[in-house]
Amino acid sequence: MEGSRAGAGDYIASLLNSSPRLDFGVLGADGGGGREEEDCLDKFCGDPGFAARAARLSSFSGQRFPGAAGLFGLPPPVPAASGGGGEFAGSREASSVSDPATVMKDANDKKRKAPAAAKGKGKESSFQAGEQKDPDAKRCKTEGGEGSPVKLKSEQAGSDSSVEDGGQNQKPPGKGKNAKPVEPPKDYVHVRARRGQATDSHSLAERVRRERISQRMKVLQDLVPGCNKVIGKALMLDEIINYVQSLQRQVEFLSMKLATVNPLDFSNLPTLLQKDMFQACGPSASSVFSLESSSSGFPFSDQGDVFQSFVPNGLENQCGLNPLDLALCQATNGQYGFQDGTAGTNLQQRSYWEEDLQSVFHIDNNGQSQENGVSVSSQSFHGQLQEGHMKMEF
Amino acid sequence: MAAFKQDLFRNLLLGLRARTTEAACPFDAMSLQERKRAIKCSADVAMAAARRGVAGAAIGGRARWPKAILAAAAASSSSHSPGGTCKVRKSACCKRRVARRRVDAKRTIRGYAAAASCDVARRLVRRRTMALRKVIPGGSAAAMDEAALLRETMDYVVHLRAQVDVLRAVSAAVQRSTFLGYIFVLHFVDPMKD
Repeated sequence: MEGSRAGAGDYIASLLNSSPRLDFGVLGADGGGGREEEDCLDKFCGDPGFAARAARLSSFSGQRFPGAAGLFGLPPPVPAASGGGGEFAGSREASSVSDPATVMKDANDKKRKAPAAAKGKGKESSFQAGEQKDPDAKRCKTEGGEGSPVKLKSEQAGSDSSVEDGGQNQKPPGKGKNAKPVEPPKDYVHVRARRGQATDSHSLAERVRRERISQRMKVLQDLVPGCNKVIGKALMLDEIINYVQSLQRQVEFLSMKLATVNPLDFSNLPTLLQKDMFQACGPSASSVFSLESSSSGFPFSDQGDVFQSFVPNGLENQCGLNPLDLALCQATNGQYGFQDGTAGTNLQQRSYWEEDLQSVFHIDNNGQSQENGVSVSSQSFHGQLQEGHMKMEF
Repeated sequence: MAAFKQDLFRNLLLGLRARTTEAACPFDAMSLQERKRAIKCSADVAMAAARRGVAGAAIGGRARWPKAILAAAAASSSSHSPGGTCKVRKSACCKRRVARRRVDAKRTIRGYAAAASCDVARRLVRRRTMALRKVIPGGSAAAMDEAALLRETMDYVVHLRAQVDVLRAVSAAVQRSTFLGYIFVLHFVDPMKD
């Protein structure tokens, strides 16, 4: 139960840190305990640009590439745009291939910070390999034509040449870098300045912020249905707003629907939703619920007879009984031991109502069909059930 | 997620039960609109409470919207008088007005000369961001930057979806049971009458 409890809160965390498997060593996500995703995100956002470039490189005409890759002793990289299954493999290659590129850059760059880049590359590329091009496009748009497309291209050119030139020399250090575990991250964000971009703290911080935002937009794109075709921040935000509003409207509509129910019996509901509760957790939830409702004391002594009279008799009764039983089974999941006069002690953890349905339809065992949920909803039928034989023809 | 749904459901039941047993305004006496509002409020509070409960155990559990929902609910319930709600509304309106004034000032200063596409895009994005803030509970209150807002949105969407699922299941089950009740009654009433 504890593990599943963590499910919802971690859900978002897992969406954001989607690659704990990469053995670049990182992320505090799995073990880190106190490490918030912000830090992970920061590290991640440290240098996703490399992943983007690596993806572009790998999706290039494979002519230059296999050569370069071969030098590094890697299999020819899977184009990152293949997405899906190839994603992970592609990401590994993209990241490891771009590593030597970063080694090159280190020599060139003015600022040289922790190898958060490795993590960043790994994460970003595994995140959505298919959309590597998009963040660049987005970045170009959001940067508002500051000449960033030009900069990116220059980086690209720079990295290409560096990959080609330094390939042979840099092979061992590249591999060494790859194998080396990531240093423990510090408190502040580690960012590597890109070639051809300003290196003052403000623009770096800006870049980090932008990367963070674009990463979250990507996650939202997955969450909100129908957002895949939309590209661009404004349109995406539009879709998100519409989706949230529609969900809220659905809540209003459903609550209106519930409001129309006149005798609103709250004791009914736990029993009615046993099947819902069972989906994830095991029978433990049911035991809670059945205790709850059975403690309200079903007057089973008389109803026991009534139901028993249903079950074993002729075909007519059985056929007639089916729809009602069906509904009751669905309602209660057959979790209630049928109490033959004794209040609520049978918490037989039957499995699920498919089984009950079958039992109802075949009426195999007397035991099973007797155990039919005399759910509290039957309390409302209580008066009617007192009758003798009920031929119900639905 | 299923654990969250269960918590939500449990909280919803507790909340509704509390409301019905409350002597002040019994369920039956309320109009349809009031009941709907009460149910919706209970559902939202249940969702917020369940989110907080799960978050206590989970790592990635920072979300502001539950607090906002609970605060709003507490404010509205503690002061049934219009004064309380008005206060809340006023502060929100003031903030919105201030923001709008700033934006307008920028526009007039720059004039129409700098209507570059990037500016237009930025303005659109900003407008939509503000709209998103209004929609997400707690979005307009805190000074959240865009990244935090997006994260809140993600969290909220996921849990809102779960809430919709739970409510749908509840209403379906209730409908089923009442339907059966009616069938029973109809069936037994008619043949008995001669």
